[in-house]
Amino acid sequence: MKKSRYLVIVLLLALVLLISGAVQAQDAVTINWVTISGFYTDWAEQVASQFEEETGINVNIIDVDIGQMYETQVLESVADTGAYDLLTYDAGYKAEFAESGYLLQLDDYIAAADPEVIAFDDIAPALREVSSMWRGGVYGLPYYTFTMGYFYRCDLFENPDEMSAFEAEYGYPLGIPENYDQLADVAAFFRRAPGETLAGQTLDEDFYGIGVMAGRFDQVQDEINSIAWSTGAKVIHDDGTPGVTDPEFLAAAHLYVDELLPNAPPGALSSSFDQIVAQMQEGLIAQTAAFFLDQYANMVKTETLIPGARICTAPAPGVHSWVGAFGVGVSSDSKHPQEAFDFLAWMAGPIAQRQFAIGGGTTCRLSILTDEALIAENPQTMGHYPTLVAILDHTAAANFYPNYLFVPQGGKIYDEMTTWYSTAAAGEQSVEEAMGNMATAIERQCGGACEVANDALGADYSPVPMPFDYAAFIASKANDIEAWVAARSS
Amino acid sequence: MNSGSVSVDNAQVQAGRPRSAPKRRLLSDSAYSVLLITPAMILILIFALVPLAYAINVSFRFADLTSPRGIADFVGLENYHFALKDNFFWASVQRTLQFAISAVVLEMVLGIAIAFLLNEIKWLKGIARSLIILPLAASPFAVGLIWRYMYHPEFGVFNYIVSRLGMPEQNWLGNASLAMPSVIAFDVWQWTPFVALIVLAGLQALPKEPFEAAELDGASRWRVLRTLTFPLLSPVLTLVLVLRTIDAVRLYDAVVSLTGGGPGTSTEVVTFYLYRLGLRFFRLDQASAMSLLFLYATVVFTGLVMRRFMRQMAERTRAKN
Repeated sequence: MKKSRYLVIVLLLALVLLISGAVQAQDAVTINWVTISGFYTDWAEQVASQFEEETGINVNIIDVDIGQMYETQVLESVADTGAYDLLTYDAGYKAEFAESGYLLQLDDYIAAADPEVIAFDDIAPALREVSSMWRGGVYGLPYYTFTMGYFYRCDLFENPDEMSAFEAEYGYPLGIPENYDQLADVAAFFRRAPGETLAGQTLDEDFYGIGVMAGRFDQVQDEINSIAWSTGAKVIHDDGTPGVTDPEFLAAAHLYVDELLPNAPPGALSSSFDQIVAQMQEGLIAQTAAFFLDQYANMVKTETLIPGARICTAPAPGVHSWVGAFGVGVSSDSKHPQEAFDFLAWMAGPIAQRQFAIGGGTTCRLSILTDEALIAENPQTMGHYPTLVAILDHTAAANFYPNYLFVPQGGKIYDEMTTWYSTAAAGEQSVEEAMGNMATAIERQCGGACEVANDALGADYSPVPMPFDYAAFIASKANDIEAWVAARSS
Repeated sequence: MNSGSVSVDNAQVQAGRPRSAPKRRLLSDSAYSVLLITPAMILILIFALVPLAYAINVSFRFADLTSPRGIADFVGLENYHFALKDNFFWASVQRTLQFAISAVVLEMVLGIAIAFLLNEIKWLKGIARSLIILPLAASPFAVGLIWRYMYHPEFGVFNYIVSRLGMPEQNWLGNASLAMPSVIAFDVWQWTPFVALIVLAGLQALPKEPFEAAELDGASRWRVLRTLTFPLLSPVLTLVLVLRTIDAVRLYDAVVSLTGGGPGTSTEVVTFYLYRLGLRFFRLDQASAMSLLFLYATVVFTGLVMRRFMRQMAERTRAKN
């Protein structure tokens, strides 16, 4: 009898412990963050575990292939499943996500947060504009910028033989191209056949003047749009009508198809960014414009693969290329919005972002992008920061942004561009015909003229690009990280 | 020993016992059959027919998931009207047919040839069969990414081979007129083994007697092939043809990994177009209408071919009985 009584007590105790454990497990909040598979996943895991240790809030990272990110998130958001607490979006989709109510407005959360933890003003203003803001409200925080710039083989550009030959042929010095006509000149100049010389060396294989991404991937529109924006042409006018059939836009597309593509490797028509990196590393190309600066760590490997090669960076010709970032926002159907925001603030905050930058990520925070000591310690992964800061500062000062970023259907229009721009690049349709189809697609997606919600840019919004001071940029040595570091240490 | 050949002793023993009434079976044969197929039917109903009914419903409505209206009112035949006059849809259908016909014909011819070859070889048959199955075991998307590099004009192995053969290097995936043949070549590489294995199984199951008789009669090899082998193999060939055709018109993974539908729209097949319309632009209404039109065409084709196959099977069963 006594024995059985003890047994009952032990069982009851076990039951109590079990129940309390279950209650505790129920109390532990779990945040589901859907993010891009393979994009600094190790860093994300590390940040998540640090956050878990400090707060007791679990973070479940759901990796999704970048190609399926959009539809995965939209389907869950439309169905209000609450599957994800944090959504990840490309700047081009911000307007749609915010306008459709998939994202929670964060202004109140930011106001209530510790200013040192969130340090909202430290985020580069241009990236805040394109990745966070919608109709004057904040809908997410950017954590990774893929802003575009210009990569070139500065060893070739500084070669005396090449410099004199270029000047003799084109009547101006060889250097960082300030506009796309100059870029086309440089592309044509460096196109060499086997047997010709390059920087004094006889070539065994073809050498190409430029690497371009004309395959049917997102990058073809980034390249053509960059040419268009630099000349003031627009995908969508301020009144919401398509601008892709305007003479200026057609001229931009023609320059790409008729002058850049013929001087690019034949693989250009099936290339995306990874092939451009490979072409540079193989020593096949002299330059690439409107290319992701965050690829610097991969591009700079060319210096070890090709003896004597040096990689430098600059703003893309005309500077107004694609300025963008991946943003993260709190899902409006999140069951734990405060906890989700707390993690977002932590992940996009100064401490985690510093780790991100050291690990090779390209952060959106100015305090890190301008940290000279940190850059000097990590030139192989942060060598593009000075150029990036110059682009971001200029964009913010110009207050010039592409209109389709302020159209709720911008993401879908971006998707349409892939088809029609690549159709023109491949010669399947003439530039005029392809852009005509693009214009029809814009009207179809918007149901007529698009609504351009750029009022929040304020009275100083510039509908045209602002000239960039390339001379000052070169004088700052921001294009050449070795010289930049040396100038600061002397 | 089956019930039809009861031995004499047994029969006598049974005759000596009082005859008991036959046991009443709990279920009739037809009820038992229905019971057996019920779980499968429930699964088909849930995973095939319910979505199909939903797609039919959506195809008669306005349904743009990203618009504030979402899935809204009935619009009659408007989506079908849109589908019928959408030139891009019909262009993608044309490309799909071009792909399916070319790929399936090549796969059938090569697959049958490989099956005959494997049927004849005496040694290493097992190893050959294991090797040939490898492309089937790989994920089309993953292998597609590898093939993308193999096709690459600067770094790819195909251009290395053609240059060693003294032929001009090609822009396999970047040239609008070469991109579709390149996708077809990939599909042929991946799916010819499937045809070969099924046909090989069919060849090994053929009855020996007619072939021995033909040999005694001194029939030529060609005559044996024409009048015996292919007619006896035809149900298997029909089945493989139908399976491959259905799979070929659903082509998606290879296009995504190799070309992304490009260059331009040169490899944008119907599934890829419908994916963009339905899951990138979220026009589920138009995508559903187009899918149903395409499904209808596929069902009609399959029905016509399978009718012949079923008739052959029925005739063969009758002949055996």
